[in-house]
Amino acid sequence: MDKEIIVSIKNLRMRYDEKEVLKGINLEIYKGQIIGYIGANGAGKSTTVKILLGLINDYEGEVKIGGEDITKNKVAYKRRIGYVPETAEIFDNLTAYEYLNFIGELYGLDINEIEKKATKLMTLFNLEKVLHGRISSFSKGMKQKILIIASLIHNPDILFFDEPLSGLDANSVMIFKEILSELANQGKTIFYSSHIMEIVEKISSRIVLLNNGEIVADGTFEELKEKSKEGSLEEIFNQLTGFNKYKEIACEFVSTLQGV
Amino acid sequence: MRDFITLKILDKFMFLFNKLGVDYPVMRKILQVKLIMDERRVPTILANEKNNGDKNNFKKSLLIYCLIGIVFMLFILLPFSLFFKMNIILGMIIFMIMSIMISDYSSVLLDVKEKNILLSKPIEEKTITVAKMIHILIYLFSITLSISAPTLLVGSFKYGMVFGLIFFLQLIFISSFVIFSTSMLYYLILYFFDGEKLKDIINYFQIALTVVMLIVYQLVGRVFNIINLEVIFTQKWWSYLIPSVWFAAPFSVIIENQWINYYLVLSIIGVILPILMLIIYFKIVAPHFEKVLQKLNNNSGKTVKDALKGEKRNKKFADLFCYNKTENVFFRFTQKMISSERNIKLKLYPSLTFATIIPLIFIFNSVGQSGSFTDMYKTVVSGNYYLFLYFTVSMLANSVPLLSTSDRNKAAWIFSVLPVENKNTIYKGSLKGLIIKYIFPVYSFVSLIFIIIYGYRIIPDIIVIFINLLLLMIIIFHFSDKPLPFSQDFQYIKNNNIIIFFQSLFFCVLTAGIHWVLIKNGYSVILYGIVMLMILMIAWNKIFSKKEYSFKINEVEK
Repeated sequence: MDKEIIVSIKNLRMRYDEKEVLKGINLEIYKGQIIGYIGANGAGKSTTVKILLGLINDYEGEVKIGGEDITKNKVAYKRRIGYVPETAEIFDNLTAYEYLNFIGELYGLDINEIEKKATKLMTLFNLEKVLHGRISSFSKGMKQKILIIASLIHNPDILFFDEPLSGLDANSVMIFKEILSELANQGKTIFYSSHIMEIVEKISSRIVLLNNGEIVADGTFEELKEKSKEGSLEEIFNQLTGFNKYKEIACEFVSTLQGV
Repeated sequence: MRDFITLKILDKFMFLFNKLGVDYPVMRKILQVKLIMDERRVPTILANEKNNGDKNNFKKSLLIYCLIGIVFMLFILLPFSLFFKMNIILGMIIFMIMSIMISDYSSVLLDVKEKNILLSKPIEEKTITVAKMIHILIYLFSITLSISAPTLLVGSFKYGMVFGLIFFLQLIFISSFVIFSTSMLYYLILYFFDGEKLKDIINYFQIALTVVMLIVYQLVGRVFNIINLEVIFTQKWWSYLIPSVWFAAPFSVIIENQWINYYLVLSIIGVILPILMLIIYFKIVAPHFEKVLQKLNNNSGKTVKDALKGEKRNKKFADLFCYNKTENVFFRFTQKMISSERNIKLKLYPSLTFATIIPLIFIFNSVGQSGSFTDMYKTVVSGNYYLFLYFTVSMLANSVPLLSTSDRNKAAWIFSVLPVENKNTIYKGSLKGLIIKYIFPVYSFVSLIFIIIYGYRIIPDIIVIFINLLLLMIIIFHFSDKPLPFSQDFQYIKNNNIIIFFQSLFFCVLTAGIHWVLIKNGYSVILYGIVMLMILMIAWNKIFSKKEYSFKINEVEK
């Protein structure tokens, strides 16, 4: 591949107290890729993302974004990043307008520009009526949409989405998937973490599977399929994480319900 | 599961519930679970104490209510007519219970989550509604009983057992009166407005309650001085509208044998009304109450026409105080957060009010004995009582740690994702936002009162004291561990209270001492002001000049 490397991770290790969460991750991500970043609970996905975002500093190894080590200039690269965290924590006593304004201005946008963008984006997500409503009164999906807008309002190059679809209705999911591929076409890089394998399978141009702090698979869906001889990403996931007892467990579960 | 005495008492009334069509065993089960959950919930006041032995918390608060009740009880010893005394006592009791109901139990009444859990099970809605009411009633009645216990005992001793019996029955009526009237009030508010409005109204009630409590504590000692005038009670038509009058009337009728129509009618109202409310509530309001409760989370997204213009105006205003862009953003952000987060308001507003009142209370306390009003005024004017403004200083400076707290502290992850070059700009913006919007106006208001009393000559002093206030604020900030704005839960204040108290005490004693010595010896305070201003400027620059960029892990959601 002769494309530009935008994120490079070399020999990344991280430990919480005794437990080693990341055991030497090596990854090079090219511009315009949509990376499906998957793994079982506690595999180290969120930790990786948090290191990339500068939320965690005491790691070992080297992390470069846009060719520059993130410990060198801890701030500048953040202008190029958008992030939607898994838990939708938001200052929800503010109105959507106030929150977007706050975020936008800190990214250096002008108030007029934010106003225009916020109104337009909210309208596109069918939220124009609640632009001045307090976020605390929003449903889960509406909050999620606000977080998505807030992460994109400064037109970043690199996006980190952690379970971004939670709560969105089917129509919004379709819009969002289209947005992702459109963004990738424009050369944005997307880091997409989720437990919903069907979607990861469909949208990702490259899938990285993490297990116990190590990368166990890396490639396009077709490549993974060939290697493991399984039909769906879900099955590949099961195979690679060494889990094959789901049928037995399910049977036992149901028979317990009926009273053994 | 643990069983409760309260529930065993309730068992005696099983027939009543069955008659109402309530599934008693199911209701009992719901109540049992609720009571267990309540025991495990640690109130914020006690959260940092390690001994989380069951059930102590609620009992502790009962003890405090009982102490307040002793103050109420004192009225029964006064040589007035029983009707008048009971009016005062019951009035205070009703006020207390109403406030406690609104501030502490609104959340129980307005809970919509439990419905999602319970209604999806095969349980009738009526059973759930009654369980909810009984749950609140159990608490409210225990509180009512502890507030009233001193009066109950002393009253029975003075007027005989009949007094105790009437009083006890009244307490039951009073608690149900309070519960049903609050629920109906909420129903009406929700019917006409949306949930945010109701939450705002509850918030203002809570703030008012805190303020009233603070003032009452200050005035308790003086109550008897104030009420040494003879009271003649005249019958007016509007007295039929006052709840405490209804409940006080039976004491006159039965104990003082005053079988007058006036008292009889009032007594009857006092009995009938709570019963009537109970019937109305369960027959008419309750079936619809749950429906309007759904509005609680609704918010009529107001169409704000000129949000952009407003924001621009805010920004221009902020430009007067902030020369850095990030600082400017945080200036406005802080003001918006404080004015829109109810829990911060609940903590900030009472202390702002108190900061206004406290120097006046101290003046009143120290010159109150000197007879007539003009004498008092003369004593005040001839003294240097404006130095009591240092009490305002220590109260206002206390609001600094509040800036770091929020109910939404988990949302602070956003700060570390944003490209902020220097953390100090965040602090500066927030501090300035707080000072300009809250500290300065409150201080100016108190100062105005003193200027009216003392004239223009104290303006230099007032400016000096304000400089000292700012200095104290940045001292408190500097010695804190500097968490980001709104990134901590309210526990944070509790943990830092003592240190800040001593910082303020030491600082105020020192600066006020110097100030006093200067005035006493006839020196001008202007030089003092200039020196303090220079210290303030140096300190400000020193504290904020370093470029600081390090987000500690514990500031960020792990």
